[in-house]
Amino acid sequence: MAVALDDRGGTEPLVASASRRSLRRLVRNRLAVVGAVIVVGIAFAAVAAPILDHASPAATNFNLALAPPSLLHPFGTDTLGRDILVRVLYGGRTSLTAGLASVLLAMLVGVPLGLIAGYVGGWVNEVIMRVTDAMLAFPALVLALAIGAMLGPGLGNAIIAIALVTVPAFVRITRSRVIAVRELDFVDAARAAGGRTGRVLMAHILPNVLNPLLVLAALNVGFAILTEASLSFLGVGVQPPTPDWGFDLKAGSDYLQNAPWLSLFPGAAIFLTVLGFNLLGDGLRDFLDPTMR
Amino acid sequence: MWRYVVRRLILAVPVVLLVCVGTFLLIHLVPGNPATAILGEQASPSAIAALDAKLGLDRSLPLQFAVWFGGVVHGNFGTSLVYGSPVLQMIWQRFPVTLELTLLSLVMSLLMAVPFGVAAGRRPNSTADYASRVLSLVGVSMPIFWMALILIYLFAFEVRIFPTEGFVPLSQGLGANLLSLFLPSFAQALALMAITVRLLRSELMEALAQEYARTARAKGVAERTVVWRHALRNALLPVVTAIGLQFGALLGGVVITETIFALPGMGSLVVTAIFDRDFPVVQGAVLVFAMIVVVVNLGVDVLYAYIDPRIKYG
Repeated sequence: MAVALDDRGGTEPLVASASRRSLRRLVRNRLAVVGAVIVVGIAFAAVAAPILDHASPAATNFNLALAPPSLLHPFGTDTLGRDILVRVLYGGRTSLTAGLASVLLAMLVGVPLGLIAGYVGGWVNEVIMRVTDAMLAFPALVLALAIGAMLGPGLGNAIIAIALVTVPAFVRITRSRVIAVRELDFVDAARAAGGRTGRVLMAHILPNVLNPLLVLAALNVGFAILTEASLSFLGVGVQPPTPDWGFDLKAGSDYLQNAPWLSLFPGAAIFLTVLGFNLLGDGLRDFLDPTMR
Repeated sequence: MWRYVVRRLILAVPVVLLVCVGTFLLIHLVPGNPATAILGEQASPSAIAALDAKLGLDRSLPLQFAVWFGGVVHGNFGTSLVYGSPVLQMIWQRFPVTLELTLLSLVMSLLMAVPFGVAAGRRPNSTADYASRVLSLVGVSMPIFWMALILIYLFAFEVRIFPTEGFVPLSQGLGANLLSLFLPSFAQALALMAITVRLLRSELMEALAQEYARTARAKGVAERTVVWRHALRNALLPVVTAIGLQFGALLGGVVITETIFALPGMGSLVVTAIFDRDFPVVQGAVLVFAMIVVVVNLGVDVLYAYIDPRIKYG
């Protein structure tokens, strides 16, 4: 496995043809394409929300409160007469921001820790890994909920909370890959050539652990979006009037019997987005890292 | 065997200690003074000082931890700021509901996962395999609270079979008790089975390719028996380990389902305590949740060594 990565990384033309082959394999993986289309579609809808629909997500119209889905309001309206389609479009911004930012933050913390633990070893490795084990003992949602609640409301704090519970996954996978490649000849060669630890890690080891990290990142964006929605559903995290899928779904749940569309559409948006990232992650795994399961 | 158990126990010690440190530090994540956060900005300085003393926040950090940890070791998790009752007692009262919900979810997820996993593992790339893949993708991507609301809408409003919320204790009859837990368990089981189905599929495929399966077939054993008797037994072993790993996710789901279905368990206790700013209760419940995960994983490892004689107890 590691040797295969080494071979592939050997010369430039090889890399190019390998990536072209991989791309073809990715396209052939239909589910991955479906995932990519969903993710790009949701991202486009969130970014282009003001162009797609001129209405403001905060515009109220009490004459139209709790209107069922119609041509004018395809997803219906909520208790304040706000258009749910517009809220769902804008809510995508919150979800995608939370998902991407928290995974990025988790990687920024987790990957260096994993590199150090795997490469340096010894007591440094012991300390990092025991802390990681301890963090994994907490149910992720419970820990994120408690951290988010302690830090206080707001999207930023929710992102920090989600990132913190995601860090251990990145530490672990990075460390295991580093251990797999650190004894290989090309690393020895780099060290023998006088490369300092930092340089060996960044230039020689990191490129060889990137593939599984990419897969993990895609899968974790889905998890992060789900967690963010759960936090706002429970009332921790994003606060009104910011449009948020989890919060809107919760607000609508009081009217479940008479106006189910209030919760139906924000929930469908969460489901679809998470599904998209999971499909993409699965597909990426199939062609980037067939050994990872 | 016992040496293995002891070694596994020793390995768990630093984790348990660090879990305690982490739980203790939670309250220090509150920006500024936790006592001010609890009482509000308008609280008098004397009231804040009094609460500081009650929470022990007027002491140095190491001393605070020593006092808190000493209490935890002796089963004293502090007292609720809202109800004034011991935290551990509040958790203990709610523990049975969470336990029953968790076990029911596990059983339900296995009842659903085994047939799907077996069908998929027996015939890879068949329609059944494809269906199980879609089902498991839907399962991991579905927000549990959305699933729960859809179930409430379908089975409690449209077809009135199950109660929409509330818990009926076992003392009031098994039927009513199970009925009150059916929808929340089902919502959790759907999310849980997703991973089990995929794992069971790949494990079964591997087991069916083994020589003992081929031997059984060559002896003329019916394919049914080969699958259900020989291969499934071995395929289920890793599933046991996976259940330990998934336990954290299951307990996270409990927080949501208990809130939606108004079940008086530990999950809803955490959520209420968060809104009451009842920090000792939040800390206590989070600690118990983590300890359950540690104990379950310990149990799974020991059980695994017990049921799989190939594992060396070194």
